[in-house]
Amino acid sequence: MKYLESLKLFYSSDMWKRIFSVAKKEIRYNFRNRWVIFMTMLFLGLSILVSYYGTAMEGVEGWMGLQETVVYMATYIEYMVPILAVILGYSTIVRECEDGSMELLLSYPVERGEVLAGKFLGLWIVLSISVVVGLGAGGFVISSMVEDVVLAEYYLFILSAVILGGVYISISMMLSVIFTNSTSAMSASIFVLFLFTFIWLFSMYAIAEITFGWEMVEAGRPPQWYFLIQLLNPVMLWYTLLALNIVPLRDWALEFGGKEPEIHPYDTWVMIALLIIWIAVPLLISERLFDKKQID
Amino acid sequence: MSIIEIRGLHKRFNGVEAVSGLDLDVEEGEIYGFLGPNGAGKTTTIRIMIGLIDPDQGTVEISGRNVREHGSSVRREIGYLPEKVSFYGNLSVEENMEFLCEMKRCPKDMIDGLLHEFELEEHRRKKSKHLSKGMTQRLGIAQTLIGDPDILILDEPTAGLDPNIRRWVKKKINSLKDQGKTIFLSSHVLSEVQELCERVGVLNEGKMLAEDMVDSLGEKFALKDRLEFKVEPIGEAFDMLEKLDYVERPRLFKGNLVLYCKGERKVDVIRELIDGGFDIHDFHVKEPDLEEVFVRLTDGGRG
Repeated sequence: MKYLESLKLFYSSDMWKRIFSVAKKEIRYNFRNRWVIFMTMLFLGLSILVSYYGTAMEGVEGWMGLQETVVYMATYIEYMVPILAVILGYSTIVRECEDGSMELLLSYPVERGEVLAGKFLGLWIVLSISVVVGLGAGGFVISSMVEDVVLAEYYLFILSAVILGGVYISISMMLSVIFTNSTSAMSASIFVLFLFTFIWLFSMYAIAEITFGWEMVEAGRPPQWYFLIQLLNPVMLWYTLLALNIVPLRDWALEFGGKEPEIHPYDTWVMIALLIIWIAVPLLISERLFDKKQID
Repeated sequence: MSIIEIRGLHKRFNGVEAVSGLDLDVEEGEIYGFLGPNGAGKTTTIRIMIGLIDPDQGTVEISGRNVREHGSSVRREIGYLPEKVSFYGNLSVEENMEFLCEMKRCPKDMIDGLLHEFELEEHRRKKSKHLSKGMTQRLGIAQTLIGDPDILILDEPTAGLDPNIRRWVKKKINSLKDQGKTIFLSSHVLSEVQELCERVGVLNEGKMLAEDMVDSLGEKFALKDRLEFKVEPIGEAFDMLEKLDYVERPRLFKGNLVLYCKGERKVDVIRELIDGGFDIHDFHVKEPDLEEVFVRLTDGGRG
């Protein structure tokens, strides 16, 4: 009880009130952003379409279970959630600096760290609501159409997408602090998006080919360091997190030459911890840089 | 008592001295005019005062507290209008004001009064991106009064406004002064500063060139009144006045006789013309204004 009281006192401090006010403003502001509405609809529409038509190319039409839907959806979510995060994050600081609203805000009794924390919190909530509503509504429709519904893995899929979104919001916010114009911040954010997907995949392929040969990967026997490098990529962390927990995805990964996750020196919690580090580090860098940033 | 005290302020950007050894004091309850051409360092100084930029050297104290050390608490007592004021375009006028009220932790019931006072009541639900320039500026000044601060810092408050809105803003600034606010007003519009301010500082290339009461600046720089006569016979009047040692730069201009003299000697000039039997059909006296001080202090000295 005493603990709850002190916690309540802590969160009712002026600092938290300002953080929550900034977050509330971001939520209010961004839910009027047409892109957020569009992406939410896209999450919903795509989950239903994938569930119904996902196996059409294999000549099978009809509703897939939630677990199988996740396997097909993962490929789209890998891009869509980061895209939404980048849309929300890349301009949040730089555009306000450009248009002058940041100068006005910082002339009020608010610390820059509070502004950053509030913005991150607000944007993450916006992304989470968009993902949960979009994928959740899709999942609801799918589960009403199929038998043997396994909800736990679908929930984990949504939760992991929210965490991945948090990583990209954090990174794009950092870029928004670093760059002095929004075009550069957007370009850099898009580059990061490609870096952790296409560029990473091709680079890893090249590294494998040059060092030990791609056939070792296909045989599921690449050296340990090759897997450890993957930890530097939040998308790969997210994929591994899914593969560790969603049975059809693990089977699918193994089928394409993946390695049995249990023998890796990491597990679900390590993946989640690493993704949280991926959120925290860019935020800390942002805080340092934003504190020194000249507002003009 | 100085409510704003700046000492030895220096700031460089990319090797260029934007503010160079600036000292400045603003007394409680006065309107201080901060005058200077574009690029003189006014906005940089103001941003240092607010705590948006750190100085390379020097201190700014507001209400006896150092801005660098007590930025947040100092900003609670300040209302600031940036040169280019901008709000959150997707939020309404009312939502913007609510958010800013939350930042100062002050009650939102003051918003109604402010929107009424600044004639924005009927636009309260309008998104701020749909406001005209004049309305945005009115909202900008309204937000400076959130939390009823004692000090207002207004950076070019009338820039880019049409004459009617400009007049409205000037009237509002005067009424704020009557409410006992200390107003630090930055401008490059000389007439505005002359009309509104009691004391003025002239800044150029980051240096304070002069600082005094508006009325005293003319005297300090020994500026002369400009007299213009429609007089007959004009040629003889010119010949006579040219010989007077207190008359400067007499000339004929568009059929009028124009000359300069110290303020206290202008009656003597008129008396000479009357005693000399000249017919004075019309005359104008233009007292020295800030524009002349400004020109003399800045580029005029070279030109």
